[in-house]
Amino acid sequence: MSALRDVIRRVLLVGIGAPSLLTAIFLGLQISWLPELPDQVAIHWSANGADGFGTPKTYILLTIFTAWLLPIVIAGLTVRPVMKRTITTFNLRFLVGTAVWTSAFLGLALTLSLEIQRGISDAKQAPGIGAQMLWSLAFASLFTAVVVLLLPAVRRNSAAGEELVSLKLKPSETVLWFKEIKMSRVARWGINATNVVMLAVTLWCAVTAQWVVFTIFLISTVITVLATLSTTKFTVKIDETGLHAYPPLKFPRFEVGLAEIKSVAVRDVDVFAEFGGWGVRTNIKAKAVALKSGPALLIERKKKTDLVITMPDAKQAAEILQGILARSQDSR
Amino acid sequence: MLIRIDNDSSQSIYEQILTSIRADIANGRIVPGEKLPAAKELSLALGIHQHTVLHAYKVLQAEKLIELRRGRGAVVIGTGQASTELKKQLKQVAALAKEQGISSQTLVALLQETMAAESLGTN
Repeated sequence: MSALRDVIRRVLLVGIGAPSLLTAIFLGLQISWLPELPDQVAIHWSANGADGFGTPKTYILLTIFTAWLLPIVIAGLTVRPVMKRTITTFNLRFLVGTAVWTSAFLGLALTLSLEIQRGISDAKQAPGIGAQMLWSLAFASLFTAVVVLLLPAVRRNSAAGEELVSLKLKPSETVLWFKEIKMSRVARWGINATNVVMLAVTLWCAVTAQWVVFTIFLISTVITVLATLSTTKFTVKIDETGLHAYPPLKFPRFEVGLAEIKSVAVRDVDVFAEFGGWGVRTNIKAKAVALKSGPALLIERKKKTDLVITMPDAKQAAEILQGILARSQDSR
Repeated sequence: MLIRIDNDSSQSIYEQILTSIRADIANGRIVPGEKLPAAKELSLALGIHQHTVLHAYKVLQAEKLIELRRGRGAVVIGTGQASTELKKQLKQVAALAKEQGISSQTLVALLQETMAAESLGTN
């Protein structure tokens, strides 16, 4: 137990402590520079130079959100899988490392982008930020590589599969199984709320902001809405030909023919620990439709990576698929 | 939702679809608010005419188990979920019927007659 406490302590130190310390330093610098900055500063650059403008407080808000809040949420989500011993060492270091890197890169990039505007009277005179981005990239990469080494290896419990009883099918039977699977209501509400906010900001930019900023938000909104439609809800169908899984937009589709299946199993999956997040995911071993942690159908494929689909009726789905497979093998 | 169609069965395909969907609702495998597959999709998957599926859906709608909504398709509205006690009794009835050599169709007919009599208040 003390070993587990030590792991959790280090995860909190690195994943929450490091972004908090970095953000405090960045905010301290930014706030100290406020008297030296013009009322409007450059907040966006393109190939032609500074082309988006806002108040210096924009930097402070962006730093709080991207260099502190977002990273500590990502790192915080690893604590439960560590306690339940469902996360691998690689995934733990990858996820916490991502949190720390995001904090270091974005925090420094924002701070340096503000620093170069000290003493100028017109934000349009703001110089380019290419060098600042490179410095931020180098710092974030080095800093993350060092602090992630503080994270120890974790001992993961092996996930036991459920015992399955194949559905017995007569040669004269046709069987069909349909299930609609969705992310949790809280997750869907959160994603839909984000889409509404993005749309509202886009409309606000259409009226008040430069066209570049408006175009960026418009494209971002379209992408997030399309992503929502293709990753938060899936129909899973099992029939005589195999398994088919597809979202309302019908893309991406997952099709597994009977001949491709090596084995079928059911086990509990911790979506965040194993796949780093929710939606359509992938890791070294498997592709996943990972909408909710819990029971999942696991299909081992002969020539491709495994397919994992989280669903409440995973056991029934697996037994039906096994039954169809057994019958097709008997009929040969 | 699981649908099993036995092509050798004396029951019509649409009756077998009805039986499958009613059983899933009664067992709580499909819950109110859940959408059934579109009639076209189900008919293609089963290799039957779309009207057969629509006929089954209309019967379920008349039984107030589903609602056919324009643009949304067939949505489950009724629970009709059998209690654990009822399921236990049904298992015993099924075992008894099997012992006496009574077919499932005869048993269903007997049950329908009994429920009709119950609702009329006669025995």
